[in-house]
Amino acid sequence: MKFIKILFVFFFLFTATKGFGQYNERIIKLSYGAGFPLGDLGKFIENKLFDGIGIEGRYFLTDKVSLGISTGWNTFSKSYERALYKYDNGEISAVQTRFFRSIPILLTGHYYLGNYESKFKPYAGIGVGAYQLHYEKWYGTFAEGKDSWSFGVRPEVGIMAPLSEKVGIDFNVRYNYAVYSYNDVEDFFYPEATLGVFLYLD
Amino acid sequence: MKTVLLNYFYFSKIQILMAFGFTVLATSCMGPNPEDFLTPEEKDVYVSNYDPEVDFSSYKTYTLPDFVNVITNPGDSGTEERKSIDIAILNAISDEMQKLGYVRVDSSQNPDLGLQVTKVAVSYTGIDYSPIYYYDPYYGGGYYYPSYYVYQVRRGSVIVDMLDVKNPVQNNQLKVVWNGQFIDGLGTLSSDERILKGVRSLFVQSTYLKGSDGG
Repeated sequence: MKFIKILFVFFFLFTATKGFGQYNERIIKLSYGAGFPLGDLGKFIENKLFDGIGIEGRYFLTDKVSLGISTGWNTFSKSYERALYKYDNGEISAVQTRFFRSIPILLTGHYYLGNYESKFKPYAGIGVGAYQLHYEKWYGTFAEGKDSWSFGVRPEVGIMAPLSEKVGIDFNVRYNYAVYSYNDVEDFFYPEATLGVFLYLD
Repeated sequence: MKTVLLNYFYFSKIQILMAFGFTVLATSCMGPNPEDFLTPEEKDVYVSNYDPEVDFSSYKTYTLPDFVNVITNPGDSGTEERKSIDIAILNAISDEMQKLGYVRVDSSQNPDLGLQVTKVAVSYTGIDYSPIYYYDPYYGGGYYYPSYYVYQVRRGSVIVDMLDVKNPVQNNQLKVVWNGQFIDGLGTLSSDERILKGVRSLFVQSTYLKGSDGG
């Protein structure tokens, strides 16, 4: 979890340093996200929400444009009743537990409608960066797994609703995509809805 | 001065919150550990390997010794350990082979197949977190495994090897045409019921095992 420490340092600096420019506005956002795995990822673990937590910092260049960094995670896991899994020269009977985790680490850019005083600020944006992806498949208590880093993008649309000068709520929907193929998960994409709280840092 | 202090504390609160958040992040996004929530039986794994070029209906008879090989910790005496379960394992194997249509004969009666049972009862284990890997466990001598067999030697397992006795290959070696492994999820081989269920399952799940006498 070395990268989490690195991210912590990044966010620490983000909150500790003064902004610059005319708007001098920074927010930090914590959110809960529910993902809906599609494709092979959805088949790998069926009927489970890919849920997780997000943390994001945004720095407003103007009242319509922000740049930032976003991370968090989505995970899901499921155990399957004992079943027989065949392979080329044999078979394994076991209770399988499957787990998948996605940790996006993205640089983001957003464009906002409305202005500084708007009650609602709809926005659209995109995150570009790396997805740290972790695959596990357990046979009983024996696991095979793989960690990998993949390039990914995440377009999103949402709406921010400032409640006061200090705090606001945020809702967005976004689409995660990363270049990925391992074992029975040969593609990786999932839409996600998030609900969050943001704090103004100045 | 007051403002500076307030600012200082304001940022501290945010950063304490972040530190808490990142701690949660670092711990709560870990994967599941089935050690914690599976029952002992759910932890058991039954693995079978076979040679796909072999026609198992070409065999009719087999021999089974009246003992189980035991691999123990260096210095331990494994041969005296749990004789009753050893006999129960051998009886279960004999029963399952009969159901599959194979006829048990004495080793002096030129059997087609030879079965060997090994109990791995050691207190150490391999790598806890590892992919299934290919392993060539040449133990005992006199026969060999095809290299593609999935094989994991774990603490607490019962291994059944089926050798083609009537068709020795090069250097008079006997080929292992089928191999079954009951892997005790607890690693202790302490439950006779689970051991016997697992050993029987090895034969049931290998649906290609059909003796020439039917099955």
